[in-house]
Amino acid sequence: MIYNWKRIVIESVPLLIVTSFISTFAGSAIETAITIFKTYPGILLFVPAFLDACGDINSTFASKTASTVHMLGPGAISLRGKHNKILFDNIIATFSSALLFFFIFTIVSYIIGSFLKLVFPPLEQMLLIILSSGIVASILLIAIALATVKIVVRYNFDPDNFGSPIVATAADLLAANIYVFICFLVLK
Amino acid sequence: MGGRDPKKTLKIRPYRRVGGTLFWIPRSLKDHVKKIKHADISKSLDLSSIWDQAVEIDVVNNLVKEVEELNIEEQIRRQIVNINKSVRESLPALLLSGFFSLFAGYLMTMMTGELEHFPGLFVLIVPIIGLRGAASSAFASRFSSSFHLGLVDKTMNSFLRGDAMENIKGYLASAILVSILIGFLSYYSCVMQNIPHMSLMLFLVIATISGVLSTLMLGVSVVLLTWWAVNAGWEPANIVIPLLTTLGDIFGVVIVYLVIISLAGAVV
Repeated sequence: MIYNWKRIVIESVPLLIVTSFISTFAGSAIETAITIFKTYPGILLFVPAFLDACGDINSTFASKTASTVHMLGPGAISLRGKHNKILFDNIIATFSSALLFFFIFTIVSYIIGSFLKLVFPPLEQMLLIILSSGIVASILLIAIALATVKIVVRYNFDPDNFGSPIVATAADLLAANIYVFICFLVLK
Repeated sequence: MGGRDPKKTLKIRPYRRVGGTLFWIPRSLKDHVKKIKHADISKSLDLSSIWDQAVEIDVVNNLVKEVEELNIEEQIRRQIVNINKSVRESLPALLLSGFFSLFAGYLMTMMTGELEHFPGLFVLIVPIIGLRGAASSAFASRFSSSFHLGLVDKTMNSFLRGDAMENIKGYLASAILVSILIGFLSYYSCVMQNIPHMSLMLFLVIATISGVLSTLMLGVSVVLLTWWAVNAGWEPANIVIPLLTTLGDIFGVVIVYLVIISLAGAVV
């Protein structure tokens, strides 16, 4: 047998505890903005989808970066290297997906939320909050993904095993804090 | 020694573009490599000729390597980081997942009324949702590997014995154990950050009940979805893992919501 339940528990529990503890800080960010959520419950409607999307989009970036490193070597993640066009294409693809998704998602969700009689700030403010939070989160998460892959490759580990999980956890923490911070800025 | 310029001697372009994007190694170049590699140089007494051949092999090998690298780069740009393809393929999946997550968001808006009785609830909800996604994705990933290794087949019976059963037991034990710990972690996180919070007992009760129930529901979902994907001839990792993030959100928030509604009467 290749699987043993005790081994699964021993190997997975420490990482799950660390990621769960980090996630409590994302929860704290949302808890601190409760006054805003009570005034505009509609803003809370976007939270799970926003956190998931930031994690998914940037984990995909990390996964693609890991694949290119496997195929072309560590030079594939150098901004000034000979393969930097690949890296720039990957970054542009990530931002394009993020911007299009957040734009369409905000408008459609706003309409759905209005049918559910949830109170939102005006649509242009909602778009400003979601788009700017998404862009800032993506910039930071792309930097984290690149740094993670670079460090992991330097120590001869497989970037597939580290890139996506680290970006997904960082996405929870960063996206929640950025979302709340920009809500405060726009709606103060 | 080596008076000839090997590149000029070859008299062929090392590589060229076809249709602006594809690179290919000309057949004549490959043939030339074969010819000079297999030439019986031991019979030659002309050292200059041997040196020229060695330089030619080196130059040609470098060209072949360069062309191969360009081909890989082109393949990556076409298949992996192509902007149009990335947006076209990822956007529908992101939108579908996003709209399902709206349901979880809607339930969260309904919970704002309960925050008077359960301060610190959101500090607990985010890791509960996150844990469901992380633990069940790893569980599904192991199932996917089991399928590729031939440890499970298309029968449901194979999903419930041997390695598959060890995988199920490992998932249930780790997810339930960490769920209980999340109660402690969330409580101490509130204390550390000086956030108003409910009692440790309430954190533990909500985390344990919702953790056990959603772990069981997601566990059953993973087994059924993987079995369904395998029987439909699809790659389980492509189908099951993306669905789990959304299912984890929905199960996590629905169960926490039901638990706090049930507890609200007792707390008040």
